Amino acid sequence: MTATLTRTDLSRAALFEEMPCGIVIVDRSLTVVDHNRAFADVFGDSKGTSCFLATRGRSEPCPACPAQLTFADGQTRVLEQTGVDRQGRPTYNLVQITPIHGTAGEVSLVAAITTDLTATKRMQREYQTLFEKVPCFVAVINRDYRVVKANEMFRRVFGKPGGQPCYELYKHRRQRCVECPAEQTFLDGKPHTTSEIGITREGKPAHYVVFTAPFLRSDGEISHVIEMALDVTEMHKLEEELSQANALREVLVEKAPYAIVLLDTSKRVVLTNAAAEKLWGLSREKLLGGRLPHHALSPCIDRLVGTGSDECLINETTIEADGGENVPVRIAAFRLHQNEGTMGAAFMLQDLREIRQLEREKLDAERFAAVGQAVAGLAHGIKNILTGLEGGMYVTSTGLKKRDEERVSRGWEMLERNLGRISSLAKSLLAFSRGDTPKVELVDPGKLVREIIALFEEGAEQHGIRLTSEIQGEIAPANMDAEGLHTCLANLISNALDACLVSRNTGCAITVRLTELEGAIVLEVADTGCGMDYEVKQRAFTSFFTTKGAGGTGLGLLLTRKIVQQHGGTVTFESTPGTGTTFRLRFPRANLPKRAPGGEENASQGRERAPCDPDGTRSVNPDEGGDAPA
Amino acid sequence: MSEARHPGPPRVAIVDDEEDVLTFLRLVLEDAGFEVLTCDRPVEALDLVARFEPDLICLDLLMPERMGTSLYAAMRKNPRLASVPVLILSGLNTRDELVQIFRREGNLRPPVAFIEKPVDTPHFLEAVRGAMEAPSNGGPP
Repeated sequence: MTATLTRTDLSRAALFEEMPCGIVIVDRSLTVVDHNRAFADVFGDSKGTSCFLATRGRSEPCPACPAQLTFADGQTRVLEQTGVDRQGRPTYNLVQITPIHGTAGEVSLVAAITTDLTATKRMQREYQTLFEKVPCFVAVINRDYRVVKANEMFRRVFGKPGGQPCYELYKHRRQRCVECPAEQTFLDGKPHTTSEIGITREGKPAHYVVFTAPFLRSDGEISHVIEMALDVTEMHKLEEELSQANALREVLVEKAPYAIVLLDTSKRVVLTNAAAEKLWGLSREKLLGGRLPHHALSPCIDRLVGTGSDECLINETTIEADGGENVPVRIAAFRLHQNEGTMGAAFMLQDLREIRQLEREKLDAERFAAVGQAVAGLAHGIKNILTGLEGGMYVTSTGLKKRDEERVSRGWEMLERNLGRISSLAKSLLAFSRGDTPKVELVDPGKLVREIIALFEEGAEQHGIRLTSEIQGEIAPANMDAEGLHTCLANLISNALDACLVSRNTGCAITVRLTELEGAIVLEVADTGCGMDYEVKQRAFTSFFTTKGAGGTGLGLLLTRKIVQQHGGTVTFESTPGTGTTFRLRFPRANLPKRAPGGEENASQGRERAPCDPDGTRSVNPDEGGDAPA
Repeated sequence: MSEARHPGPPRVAIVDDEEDVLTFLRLVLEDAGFEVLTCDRPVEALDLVARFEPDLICLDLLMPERMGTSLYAAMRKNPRLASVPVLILSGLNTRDELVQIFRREGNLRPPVAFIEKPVDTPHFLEAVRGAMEAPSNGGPP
């Protein structure tokens, strides 16, 4: 057999075998008589089996079998056919059925040449899915600007296109848009991008960015434009919110009554406000980008940078303004975080000049009122003594008239006692008016309390009154006038003793408490004595007011208050008639006077203080030194 | 003179925390023929004074424990003392000041008689006699 094959036959056989498309030859019984390698690659070796079994896995001929039709009419046909490959996967083929004529001219065999379109079809499906599912609006527009095809998202937002023009679907317009990116692309064949605001089918605004691209026909003409639009409505909303937040922040920062300064990590000013310009007396241009005179801020900067603290508060310090003026300020500073790191620090400075001025005016007003009170009180005190003297005179003179010696000596005692009161009043007056400058030294408040308790303890015990102290932990020494403080405590304890003596309560107790609370030294003298009623409370700090008859000058509490005020402190009390009274002296450490190394010190210096911790504990100023004052 | 509730001379009760004032006024009144009770503890005064059945009460205002005003209010509520005239004795400067204190303390109408310290003896006796004869003296407004 081989010997009879010609060279041409061999070439044809090789061509048949190596063709890139599958070729199968079937006879009239639809049995595969031959096929090439490409066919076998897809459907396996199928010689001797039926074509319907080999290509479609069927047990009987396909309905309207094109091979049978060609056997009948001898026509060549081309058709698309689905099938199943030898692994059972679906195939998609373009098939050409061609008759092979026998020697008598009859159709003896049929050849089917198959081109595998499976990959192409898959790609088409993928593109279709992409078109449908891509998360932006995609629409194909023809030259009449009608939307001929739109994807799922487009349909969901703008509605299903039914031949309407794009401007109607996108924007509910009746005419074309003035600036149309699709028109541009139709004109120049290039892609274009614009930002648009459309209207959804619910009537809400939709912000989107459009990209247009030409759809070229095989002849190079642009038949359609494809529009892809990215929905930026959410982004737009965020932008709006951000811009509102920015505007708000700008107003808040600019109009804030405090000077606001933002420093970057290299301590340069990146943001400031009108109050800051006013405080430093520098224009914004000079402040921005420059470095502030850091002297006052450096303790805070050190804290924020050095110790990793997130905030720093300085109750009072001074900054130097442009003209050299020392301006009292309160500083609050906060570290600015950015992700894991620091982007700088925000400083808020409150100008205390006006507050200090008001404080001074208030103090002056109080002084004037105190003078008035003092004069009225002095008159009242003197009247009481005069009554005693008048009484003494009456008793003495009537005693003399009656030759009643006992009466005479009684009257004489009254005269003596009331003269003594005048002397005592004069001394108190001197004590009250003397020494406007307290002798400030480093005082251990705990020690002072123990000393004063020791002084009064015995006397109290003799009257059955328990006098004790409660000292909370370690109270650091502070700048105070030891003598003045001693006077205050002695006055309060003496008052408490009197309150206990006249009280009907048995076993009265007096407790002197020393604590430190919120940066202030607090001294309390609490008694369980007779207490004060409304009228006595009202007049407690009135000069020369006394409820002790001949026993009091009416200056004790007034003097106490004066001393406490000289320390920048306050006196308050609570009292219930019949239950007892508690007097509270509060000395904020920040307000305590400063020890003057060389003597003279003025009021403003007295208020100045060293940088302090935010919890109010005071660090010792180097210039205060450790030396005790002379 | 109010109705005689007891035999003997007219009685005056004095409440003041100053011993010297008490001695002084007691002797002045005794010398003028009055029977006198003195009390320097205002908290104990109410019972003591009521038992004494006085024809007049002299009352100091600024005292420890209990202000004269509150004692006065208690006296006005006490059936045995409600109609007894009260003479206020005080180092306060003006009668206006006195009226203010009584207004503030329980909205009281002040007693009609008021003597300012230091006490002038004849003036004091005159005031005591006058107050005893006054038809009405204080009471709730």
